[in-house]
This record gives sequence, structure tokens and C-alpha cells, in this order.
Amino acid sequence: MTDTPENKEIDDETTDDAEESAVTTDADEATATKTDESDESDAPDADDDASTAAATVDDADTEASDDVGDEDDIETPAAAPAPAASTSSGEHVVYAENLTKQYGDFTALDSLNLSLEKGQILGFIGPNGAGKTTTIKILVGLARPTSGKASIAGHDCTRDVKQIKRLVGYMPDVFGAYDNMRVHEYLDFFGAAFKIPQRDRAKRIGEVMDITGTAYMHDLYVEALSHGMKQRVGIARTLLHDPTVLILDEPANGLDPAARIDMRQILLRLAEMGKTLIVTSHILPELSRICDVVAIITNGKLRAFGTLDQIMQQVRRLRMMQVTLSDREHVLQLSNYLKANLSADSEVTPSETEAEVRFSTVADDKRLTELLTGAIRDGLSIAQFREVETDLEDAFLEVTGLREKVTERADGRAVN
Amino acid sequence: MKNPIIQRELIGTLRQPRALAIQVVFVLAMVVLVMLVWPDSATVNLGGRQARQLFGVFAYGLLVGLMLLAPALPATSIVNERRRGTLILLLTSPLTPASILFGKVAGAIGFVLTLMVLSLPAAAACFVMGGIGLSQLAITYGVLGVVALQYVMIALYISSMTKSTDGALRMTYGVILLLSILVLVPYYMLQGKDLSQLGLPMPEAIEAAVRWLASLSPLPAVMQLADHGSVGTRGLESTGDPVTRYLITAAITIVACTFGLIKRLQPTVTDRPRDKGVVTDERSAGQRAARRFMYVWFFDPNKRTGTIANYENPVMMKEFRTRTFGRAHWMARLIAGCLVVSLGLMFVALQGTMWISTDYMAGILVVFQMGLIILVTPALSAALISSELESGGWTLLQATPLSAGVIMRGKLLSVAWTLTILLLATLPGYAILWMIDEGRSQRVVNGLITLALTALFSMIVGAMCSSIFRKTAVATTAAYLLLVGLCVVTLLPWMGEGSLFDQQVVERILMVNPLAAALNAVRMPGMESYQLTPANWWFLGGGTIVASAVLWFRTWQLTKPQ
Repeated sequence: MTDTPENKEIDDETTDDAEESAVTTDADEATATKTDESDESDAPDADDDASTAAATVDDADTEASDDVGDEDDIETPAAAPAPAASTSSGEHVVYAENLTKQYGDFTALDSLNLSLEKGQILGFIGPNGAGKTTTIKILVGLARPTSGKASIAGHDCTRDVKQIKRLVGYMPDVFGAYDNMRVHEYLDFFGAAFKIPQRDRAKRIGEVMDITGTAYMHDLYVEALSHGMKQRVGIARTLLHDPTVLILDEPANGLDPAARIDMRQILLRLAEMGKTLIVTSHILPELSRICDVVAIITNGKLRAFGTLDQIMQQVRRLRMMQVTLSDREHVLQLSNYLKANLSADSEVTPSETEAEVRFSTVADDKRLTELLTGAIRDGLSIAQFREVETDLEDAFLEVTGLREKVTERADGRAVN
Repeated sequence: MKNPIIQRELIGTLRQPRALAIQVVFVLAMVVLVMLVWPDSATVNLGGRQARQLFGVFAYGLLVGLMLLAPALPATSIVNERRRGTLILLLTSPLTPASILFGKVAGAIGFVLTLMVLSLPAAAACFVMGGIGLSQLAITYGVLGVVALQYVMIALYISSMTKSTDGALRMTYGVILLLSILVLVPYYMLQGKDLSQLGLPMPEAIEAAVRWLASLSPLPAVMQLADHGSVGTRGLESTGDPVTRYLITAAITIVACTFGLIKRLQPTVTDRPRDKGVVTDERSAGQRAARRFMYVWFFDPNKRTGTIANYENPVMMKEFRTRTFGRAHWMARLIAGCLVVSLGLMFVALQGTMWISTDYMAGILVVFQMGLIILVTPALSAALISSELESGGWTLLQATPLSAGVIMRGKLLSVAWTLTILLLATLPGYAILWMIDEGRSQRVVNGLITLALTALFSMIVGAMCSSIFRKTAVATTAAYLLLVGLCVVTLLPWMGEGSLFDQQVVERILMVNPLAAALNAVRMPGMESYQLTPANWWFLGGGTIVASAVLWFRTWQLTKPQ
């Protein structure tokens, strides 16, 4: 995955204000950079993060392979750890243990475990219908788990619904606009609904508008806002009652590149303020730039949970190589050649459409050189032979087992 | 079918379970109507009086059915396309505005025609009784077909103008009420009077204008076809052929709507900037002064609003702010309109015997207020929950600390306040009636009780529909069908009293009709022979309790965690 300074930057002013230096990971690791609230004793430290992250992966690794492998034959690099083995040793702000939700015979959520600390940003990833919204609804108090428990800042999400509503700021994937209402009226209504006293409300609305850069929308009609503007107002709405945890469902969905960068900066700023964020998104490069922790869920099961480093390390156990051919008729021949010469844990994925073959392998550089030499000797028209940088998208496809499906679909379309 | 829109509109409509339900209910209603008035004895009046009366009831029933059902689908047709974003797809396709319009009209009218065809067996039953000819039957169906087309065109035009489905339905039913009933009021009041003796200028011109105004309504035409003469029961004069006059006004309406719709379906209709949302506070000094004068400042819709006070229910305030008619300037206009009408009626009442008797005036006042309740209440209450469900606002409300009770209280109060203010604005007329004849005071009180109970009943029924249906358009239509059905359909047996029904049966049926009960309470001529209160109050009270229970249960279902 590529990492550029602009991807990681946050508002200069904000950075300057932060007393403690930013937590910066190695550029190649390509994780997000964010400043931590320096005066918070329980704010996660960079070193702590790294060490506990490694521990989590080690702990979870063995179980993960067994659990998930049985389920769908998906190779899982890092499985959901039990909350006790969380990403850090600090106090859990968000905590879920064996969270299960069933609708009749359908299991929407299956024994989900996760935990988050103050100021962390969780990237919650999964295909449509994976169970993300169900998890969120349980955390917000809009759904009850069939079994298991979830809590926010020590308050049970099922029993203490009133407290949960004050602790959580929830932005659903649907904005929820009202006709004939200006932005300040809209925020005033939700401020009143959260029982913010009238004398403080105007000031608070001004604050959240400043944080989210929506001050200039004060008198605009909500229904006339563009999608990007609505998303910002949506975040302003969730911030009104100063919640501890923000749960944002697809905040970057449908945004143009500039609005996406703005959104990223807003989210990083919120984490700086000590808010814990749960962000779902299908735009994985976006998430990888801001998230401390990633959870990958499919079919109601948590397939991977850990810091971005942990997940990348797991995916990177196997090197991903890409061979591009100048003659697409050689694709099958190369694929067979590689299958014959690679170890059993390697996976070869040919794509006739793109005239390329991808394969994962533990082979070192020397072995790869031998393979390349052998292929050229066999008369295969190799135009390019390179190692593919692994990013969150790759990790997602690997963990969910969707890579093969995507390739098959692409080939199927080409054939058709 | 070459026009793909016809296929999508008509086949799409017919595929819906709702369409089948409407057809079944419609046929059942027709069957029940004919069965109720079918003579018990084997003998039939050779003069055909009984058959004509049966046919009259059937024709009115069909007209009411068309008034309620014909606009329901087209009223949401174009506005739904716009909200879903499919209108732009149609406008950028090779289809011309005329072919889009033709497809929409054919789709809507096709469904109405299936209903009319389904009513044919009931019409045949009337025909076999004798007394009516095949040509009379054919002309009646022809006129009703024109009624359906006229209402479909009006509904489509309104649908092309409005921004929301429920708004389109409200406006459509309002316009249809205006065109079918309210345009008859001046005709009813002036019919048989010598306008020159009343001191009015250009009496001939006024008379012609009033007659043509009344011709906008299909009711006189249907009355003519059912051999019921003209509007009113006082041997009033009726000049000209109401059927021809109605067909002319309907044709004008249809042509006007067609041109309007073709203009509104041009691709350039989307070429509009977004509302900039400029508030009065940020306009120039001259503009600010002009708006303050125009809106008396307080009613300026573009002045910056203050924050919601701690003691105010935020949901109620939100409802006032987001609802078009909840905004102060619209409320002021409505109240002013009601006051003007009420004062006008007072003036007429003060003229006493010269124009019209106070009994009639009280009846007109009741009809006006009842019309206001039936038209306004579902428009306010049938969107309370369904609009939140549609927009995603319900989830946001659930995520706030507001309890279900606070949410519902705020929503219902927003309707109750609006209704109260509107009804209070129409009260001066009653005060005058009271002053004219103190012996009338009990009647006025009884009428007011009936109106208040009707308002409460309508509000809760609307809210109940809103909690049952997830789409505002469906909830609004259901509420209108229920209330208009209750007030109008149950009046049909009253028209056949004497020959088809005896008085006891009519009285029992009218006991559920709030309009009849209110008219009976003020002793409107034609209604004074029944005793409908307090039985009607018990019915309305009981109905309110049942609807409240359903509303409470549905709200509980919707607010509890899944």
C-alpha cells in the first residue's frame, strides 16, 4: 500500500496544538497517523499499540485459523480476539462479547467480540449484508442481541438505553432530512431533543458547526444541501450532545475526492478530541488512512480484528506476486507452470482478461528468480514480474475470500 | 404496447396487491349498495320510480368511488418519479413529453376503467329492474369516464408541481373537494333568487358566472342523469343542460392540464439552482423593510428563528417548522381565510329571510367546518409517523433520549393546535346564530360538540393510518378514504329514504356519519327528523379509543428495540 504525507496529514493547526507528538508508523506499513490527546492518561501510546497489537495477533492467530477455516474455508489472517485480548491494555470504551443476533433462522451476527479504547478509530468493513448495521444497531440500543453483551463506557447497551443514547452519536447511512428546515433549525431541534439547555444550545451549535466546517450553511435549507454538505451536517448533529463514541455509517459514501479529504480530516480531528469512532465504509483506502483498528466481518462473523499492522502482517505472510504477459494465450500455461512449481500453500489466480497471473507464495527472492527464469525458458511472453504491495483492499479480499469471486466475475464477463 | 410507460404504470399498478384489494373492496361496495336497496317484494313499480332511485344511488356511489380512487395513483405518479430520480431518466430518453404524459394518463385511466368495468354487473342489475334506458346508462358511464379523466389530469398536474407525495395528495383532494362540492355553494345559495332585487350589480353576469362555476362540478350532471333535478331541494330553477355544461368545463380543464403538463415535462424543468436559503436578516435594508411590512414581521417565513425553548416539546416545534402549513405565515393565511368565510356567512345570516334562512346558514357553516376538518386533518396527521419512516428521521428520533410518549405527544399536539386555531377562526358565525335566536343555543352547542369530536376522531384515525402504513402517500390516501367514506358513502341511503329505505334504517346508518350528526344537531332542513346524537358521539368516542389503542400499539412496536 502506498503512503503519502498528504494522506496522513491532519490540519496543521490541530497538529501544532497537540502537545504530544503524533503516533507515526513506518511509511511502508501505511497506517494512519493521528495525534493523541496528550493529557489523557489512558490515551493509547504508539509503542503500546504496537506491542499489544502483536500480542493480539499471536493470541488470536491459532484460534482464528481453526474457527474460520471450518466455516467457509477462508484463510483468516487474524481472527476476532476475545475482548480480554484487546488491541491495548487501556479501559474499554466500546466492548462486545459473543454478540449474537438471530432473526428467526437467520443469524445476522454470530459471536462477535470487539473492544475499543478512547480515541481509537475502528474501521468496520464487510460486504453488504455482512452484519455491520446489526452490530451498530445493537451498540446504539436500537436492537437487542439474542445473546452476548455489549457496552459503551461501562453501560450495557440493552439495559441502559437512556445512558447509551447520551454516550453515542449515531449517524445512519440515511441522512434523515426534514423539509422546509434550515440547518440551524435542524441542529436546534436535535439539540433540544438531546435536552441541551436553551441558553447553551446556540453556542453548542456554533461549536459543532465550526468543528465540521458547516458554519456557512447556517441558513441553508437542509433538503437543498449537496450530499457532501449533508454528511457534514450529519456529523455536526451527532456531535451536539458531546458523545463519547461516534458511530458513523458510510460517512464517505458518495463524496467527491475533495469532500472525502475534508471528511477524513474531520474524523481525525474528532479522534484527537478523544472521541472513539466506529466508521463503516466500502472505500477501504479511505479507512486505511484514518483507522487504528480494523474489523472485517462477513456473514455475521468477525473474520479479522486488529490494528492495520497486524492484519497486513498476516496477509503478508505470503508474498503476492503479479506476472503480466504480453500474450494472453499464455495465461493458462503460466498458471499451470506456477502450480506445478510452487508449494501447496500458494494460490495461483489467473486472469485472462487482464493477461496476468497473480500468485501468493512464501518463496524468497532466489526462488522467485528461478521461477522467472524457468518461465522465460519455457517460451512464456512475460512483460512484467513484480511483487504487489498489500493494502487494506487486498487484506479485505483475502480475509473474506472474495478475491477469487472478483476474478471469476471479471473473467466471466470477458468470456460473455 | 408501444409506449413503455403505459406498460410500467398499468401493469405495475395491477401487479400490486393493493390494486387487487381496491378492486375487491370496490366491487363489494357496489354489490352491498345494490343489495341494500334491492326491493324485498317480488313486485316492481311499473313507473320505474324504484329503479330510477336505485340507479341514482348506484350512480352517486360510483361517482364518490371515482372521486376518491381516480386521483389516488396519479397524484403521486410524477412526484414519486422526481423523488426517486427516475423522472430525469425519462426526460433524457427519446420519449417526448407528450408520450410520457400519454403513458401516465393511459396507465392511470386504465386502472380506473377496470373499476368501472367491474361495476357493470351492479349497473346491469339496475337496468333489469326497468325504468332506465340503455342510452341513459351509457351516457352516465360516459360522463363518469370524463370525471375520471378530469380528476386524473388534475392529479397529474398537481403531482408535477409538488415536492412531496403527501403534499400532492393533500392538494389533489383539496382541489377535487373544491371542484366537486364547494363550487356548488354559491349556486345553491343564489338559485331561484332574483338577483336584481338583491341589489347586486350585473345580475345576469353574476348568475351566468355562478352557473358556470357550478358546472365545474360533476354532481349536477349526475343528478340530472339520475332524474334528481338540480342541486338543492327547494324547487329551484335549473336552466340549460347540466350534462353538456359539465362536459364543456371538464374538456377545458383537461386541455388546460394537458398543456400545463407538457410544459412541466420539458427537460428544462430541472434547470433550476438550489435554494440559496437567504434569510431576511441578511437582505438589504429596503428589502427588510418591505418584508416586514408585507409579513407584519412576525409572519415572515424567512426571518431567522430562535431556539426551541426548554419548556416546548421539540417534536411539536419541529412539526410546525417543517410542515408547510405549520409555518406562521401559512397559518395566518389559513386563519384569515377562515375568518373571511365565517364573517361572510355571518353577513349572509344577518340578512335573514331575504337570502336564506338561518337554519340553512347553520347547515352551510357546519358543512364548511366539516369539510375543513375532513380535508385538513388527514393532511396533517397521516404523515406524522410514516414521513419519519420514509425519510429516515424515525431512526434519528429513536437515537435521541426522547421517549415514545414525548414524540407522539409532540406530533399530536402539533395537529391539535392547528385544528383548534382553524376551527376557532370559524366560530364567529355560530356566535351570530346564537345571538339571533337564543333558543338555538343548545343546537349550536350540540353541533360544536359533534365537530370537536369529529376533529379528534379524524386526528387519531389519521395518526393511526400513519403508524400502520410506511408510506405517507398510502397513509394519507387511507385516511381520506376512511373519513370521506364515513361522511359521504353513508349519506347515500339518505337519498333513497322513503322508497328504498325506511327512516329507521337510514337513521341507524346516519348515526355513524359525523356530517349528518352535526347537520342534525343544528336542525338543518332535511336532517331535522332524525335523532343522531348522542349515538354519533358514542360512535366517534369509541372509534377514537380504538384508533388510539392501535396507534399506541404501533408506536410501541416501532420504538422498541428490534
